[in-house]
Amino acid sequence: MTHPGEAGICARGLSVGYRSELQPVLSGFDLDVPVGHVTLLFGASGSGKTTLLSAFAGLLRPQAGMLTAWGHDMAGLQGSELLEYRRSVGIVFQSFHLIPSLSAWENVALPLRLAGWKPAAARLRAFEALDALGMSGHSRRRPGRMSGGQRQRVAIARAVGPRPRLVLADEPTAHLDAASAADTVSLLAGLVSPGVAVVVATHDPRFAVTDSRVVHLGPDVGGPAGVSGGSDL
Amino acid sequence: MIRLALRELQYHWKRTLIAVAAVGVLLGISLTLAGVNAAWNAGSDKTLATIGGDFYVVPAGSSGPFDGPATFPAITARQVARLAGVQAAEPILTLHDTISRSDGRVLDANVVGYTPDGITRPEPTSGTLPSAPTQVLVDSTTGLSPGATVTLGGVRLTVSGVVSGVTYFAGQSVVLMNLGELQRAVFDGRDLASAVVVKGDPARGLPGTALLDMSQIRQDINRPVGKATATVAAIGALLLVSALGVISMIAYISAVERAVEMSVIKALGGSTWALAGQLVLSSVVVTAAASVLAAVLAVALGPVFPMPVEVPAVDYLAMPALALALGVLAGLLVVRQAARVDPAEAFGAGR
Repeated sequence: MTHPGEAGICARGLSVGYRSELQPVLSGFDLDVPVGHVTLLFGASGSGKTTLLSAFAGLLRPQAGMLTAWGHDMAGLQGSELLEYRRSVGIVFQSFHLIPSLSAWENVALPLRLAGWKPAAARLRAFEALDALGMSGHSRRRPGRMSGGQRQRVAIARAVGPRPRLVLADEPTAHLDAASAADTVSLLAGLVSPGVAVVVATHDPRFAVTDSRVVHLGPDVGGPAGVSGGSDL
Repeated sequence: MIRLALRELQYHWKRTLIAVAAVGVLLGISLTLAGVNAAWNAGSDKTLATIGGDFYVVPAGSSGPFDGPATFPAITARQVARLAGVQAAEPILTLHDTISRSDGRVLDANVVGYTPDGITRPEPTSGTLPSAPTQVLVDSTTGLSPGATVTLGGVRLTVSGVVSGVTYFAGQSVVLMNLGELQRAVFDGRDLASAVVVKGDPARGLPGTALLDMSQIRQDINRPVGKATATVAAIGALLLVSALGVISMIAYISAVERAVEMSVIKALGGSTWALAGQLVLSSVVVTAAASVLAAVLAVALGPVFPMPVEVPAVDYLAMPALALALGVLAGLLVVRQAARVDPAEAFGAGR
């Protein structure tokens, strides 16, 4: 059991990057992501925010250093264990990345079904998650017939549907108008609960007003992109 | 993932319809061509069954009565009838000729002269057996009805009845007529025969003749269309390959288009196998629907095809299995796309 303030994710001397690139995007990186808080990753484009989220999501393997999630070494995750880990993470993508052929509730139910939920239970939980985000009236709509803000709510519902202990959001306000962006900021801030860690990579200063831990990523410390600062607001 | 596969087909319903139509037409034509070949074989089989007999005696050096001009005196039948093991022996004369209808149309026909009330027992589906030498039976593919008149070699003949499915040489109609009348029409009455049809089990033939069993006779009647049959079968197989190409191409386009979607599914914890299963299922659903369309097309095309078409029931039953195989194969051809998708692209995609 992890308690608020304890580190859900722990990076020590972490180097991570893409297979297609010779140099790691981040190297010698240290960070603790505490549960019960929102951790904001601020930084310019190319500073490594998305790379870090990908590593936290189990999509990129550490090239050096240590990365643990709830005490488990992520470098050692393979096969079904890795899939299981990915299913325990809720992700909100920058461009929503909802499946266009699926309705809102089917999109939300998708990770539940991937995680092995029974169809009826997944459906019930999907409607529940959409309802919690005020989207029950749009549950049968396809993403193509929704506004950006509505799509983002569905994307958040999809991320929280399986009740993950880690929620990752990548530039969640990038494609939204001001009202929808403010809405998204408060929705993500509202996801924080005693057992849940939320990590948001963003340029949006509106997130800074929330009760968050802020990590600045920049090129001036630790190689191509290292930590330039980290502070609690 | 089943729902996702079906929703994907539903979402791109125009593409799905085009795929089903294209694959369905290719499978339908392939099925029809199989029906053409089957009809050719069925026609020659029924011709042999109508002529009857267990063996044929033919002039020495002849490969059979259907695929060559060799003749011998019809009286040979009497000598054959005296051979040990022979229950009955009757001469037949077979030739390929044209018959002229009363409306002036000329038809190609295989003419078989036989001895009435003997081994050869035609069964008309309409009209009656000939009761006079100038009466003939014609196959239904001639389009003639009982009472119609035709001319063969200047001799005017009346259709007494119609038989069905009695054809050979790629579905060409058979005209069954009195042996003597045929000899008069084409040989100025000379008593010649192409073969002696034998009922029984003769131990040997006569000097100057050859004794052929039914497998040899079947080869003789099918030999002239052997290449045509093989060509039709090859075209049918090529159509199946084309169908595989169409469904593979559509599956590939779908997989490439959905690369981001697949990376998102992987990022959410979907396995490569789950994605592969979805791609295979999509292809199988398309080919299954196409197989239904193919069966409907084959039924609809049969009557309007210029040649007889008899799609065997087993081919209809095999079509879903074939469609399943095509769908699985097409899906597997694009599974590599799913395997190559990097889930990390889900974060980078769209930028």
